[in-house]
Amino acid sequence: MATQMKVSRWSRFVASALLVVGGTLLASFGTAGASGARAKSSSVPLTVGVFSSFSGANASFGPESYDPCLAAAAIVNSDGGVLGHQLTCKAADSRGDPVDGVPEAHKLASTTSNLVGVIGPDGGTAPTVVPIFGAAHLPMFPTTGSSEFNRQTDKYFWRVLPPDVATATALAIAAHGAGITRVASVFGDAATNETNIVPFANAFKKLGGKIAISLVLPSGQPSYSTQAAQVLAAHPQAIVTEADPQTEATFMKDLQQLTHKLPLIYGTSGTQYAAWTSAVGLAIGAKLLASIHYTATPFSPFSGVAYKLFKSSLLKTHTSNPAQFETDIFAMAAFDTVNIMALAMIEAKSTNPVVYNPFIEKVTELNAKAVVVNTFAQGKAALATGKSIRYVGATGSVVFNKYHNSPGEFALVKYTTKGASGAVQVVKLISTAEISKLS
Amino acid sequence: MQIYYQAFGFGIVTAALLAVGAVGFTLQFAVSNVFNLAYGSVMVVAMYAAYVSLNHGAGLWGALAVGGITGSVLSYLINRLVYRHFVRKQANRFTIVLVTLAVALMMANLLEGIVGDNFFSYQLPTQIAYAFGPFRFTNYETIIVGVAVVAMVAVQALLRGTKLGSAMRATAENSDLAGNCGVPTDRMEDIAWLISGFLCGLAGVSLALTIGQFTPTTGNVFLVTIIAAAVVGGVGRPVGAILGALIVGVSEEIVAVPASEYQVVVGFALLILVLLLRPQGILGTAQVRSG
Repeated sequence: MATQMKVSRWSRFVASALLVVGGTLLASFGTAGASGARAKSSSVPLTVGVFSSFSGANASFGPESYDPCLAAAAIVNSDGGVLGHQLTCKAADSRGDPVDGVPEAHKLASTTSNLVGVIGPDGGTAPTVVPIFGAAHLPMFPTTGSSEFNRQTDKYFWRVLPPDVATATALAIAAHGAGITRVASVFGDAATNETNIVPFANAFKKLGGKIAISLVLPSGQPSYSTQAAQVLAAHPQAIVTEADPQTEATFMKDLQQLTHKLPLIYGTSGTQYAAWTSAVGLAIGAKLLASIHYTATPFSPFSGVAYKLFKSSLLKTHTSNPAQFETDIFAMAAFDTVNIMALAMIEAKSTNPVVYNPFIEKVTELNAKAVVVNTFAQGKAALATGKSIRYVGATGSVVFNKYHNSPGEFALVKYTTKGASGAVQVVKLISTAEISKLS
Repeated sequence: MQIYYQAFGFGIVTAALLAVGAVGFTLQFAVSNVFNLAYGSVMVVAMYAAYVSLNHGAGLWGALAVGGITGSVLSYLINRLVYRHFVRKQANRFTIVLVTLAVALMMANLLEGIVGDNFFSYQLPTQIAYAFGPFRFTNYETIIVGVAVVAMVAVQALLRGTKLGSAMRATAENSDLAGNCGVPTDRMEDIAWLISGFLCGLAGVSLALTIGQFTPTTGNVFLVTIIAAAVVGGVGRPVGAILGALIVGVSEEIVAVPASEYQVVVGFALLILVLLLRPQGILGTAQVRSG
């Protein structure tokens, strides 16, 4: 009996030990499996997806994120990579349309080895694609400004640049601040432009301004002469606008043909990217455009260590025309995004998106004890010594609220024709408080 | 009211652009029974050819000629090398439309591979519109309207007043019967594709002049409006295409006055209305084509 008891105890002990050891092993395998789900050995590269429009009317959106991704990955890799892994960027063409974007998103999420995060989706596909990346537990950094994400709750969603409603309000403040009281509101018919029209009108009217005429341009038409004549008949001091490059260029050319003096152009940040300035510049003349075009855009200092590194590494990428993105806020945001992901993975000591996702906020949040770092190398070095960090990159400070949106400051900027892609002059800063007051 | 007069004038320019494109499109369909969706891509290639010629000092008239010739040669080659094989094998219309779509996509992607997705523009002096009664036109717009009028008159004169035109019309009406009567139908088809291709090229260069810049995908939306004009007028009927272009072009500009965002809807609303009430188009006959 005693022997039986002993055997029984031994059996239980052995069984318990086996359970504990097995459980521990399983747990460790589980952890290893999770953290290494996309990268089991250090030699395996990690992939950042760039999900955006590489074809169609907004074909320039893709390279605008992809080129900076390559630039950031090169810097990360030259500094030893992330936890021993090299970073790569993979382009996925959303075509700006859910019909093409949804299958492409599924393909990217399900067939890409070691995918650790996504830059995108853009405005055309975000409503349908955000849930796909969220369900795949992939941290995503959408480039959409759509208001429907202002209070979103997907924990994998991180919007680095402020929403359109803030842009539109900043535009109203900037125009009013420049003494403009009468504007023509002219926007393209893309769904993403809808989010600018009403917030701008509301904010501008609150400030005492008047919308002399409000027009929506159907995209891709051979002529907007009638709309141009209507705008001129309304005698605006400025045209407040955002439309796709081709539509805007045709409209501006038609406008130019009807008057000796074009009104000022106050555009959203959607009018500051290279394809827009290139198309409109070709249509009406780059010098003329530079003399009348102002843009309200999320503030970047366009100087400092982070910006200089962004610019120098961008120009080293072997892409068709990286210089066009030198002063592009969306390109800077994409560059910062890769650095934020890389630093979050190092702080989390894991490349598993599920594990490192909460650390995205940790490496950017306002924290008195954190060391402010401007580059991946600085951040990696600080983390290696056990310090907390706060990454402030090319786009300046990124502070996520509880909806994973970063409200941020704005600036009214003016482009000049100097340099390869034009230089930027910051005309006026617009604070978050000013915007909140009117929103 | 002044704005409506102005819109009418702008509509004439749009109609001129559409008319040149729509007559070329409808001529191809009439003679070969090919609903050519690659038409827009040929227009774009012509835009680039004109761009190169302008950069080599050809001047505006030279660029228009180069664009027209490029469209002409390219259209002829596409028909000879691709479409004719399918027509000879009596492939159904759906198959042929798919083939033309494939050609369009191939051309667009090839072109994008060569020139990239950057914007291009003809470096010509900017012009301010002058008043002509209640209307306002630039010199370029006057040239576009003038070229369209001359081209339309020439096509009509060719089709109605020459032996060659009679032979082409006979080929369009009934290719087999025309062949049996001694008409060299293959040659007539080649000539039709050369002429329609020339119009296609002219339309491409005119479009690029009007919109101020272009990319390899510029022709896509405009092609749909060209097709709408051709169908409204009656597919296969050059005069119908001119009428369709006038109706669609002017309506789009007039509607833009009260409702800018619905400008693009007008052409398609007209298209549906005409197809419902008169499926053969305004000037089409019930049996547009046989054989």
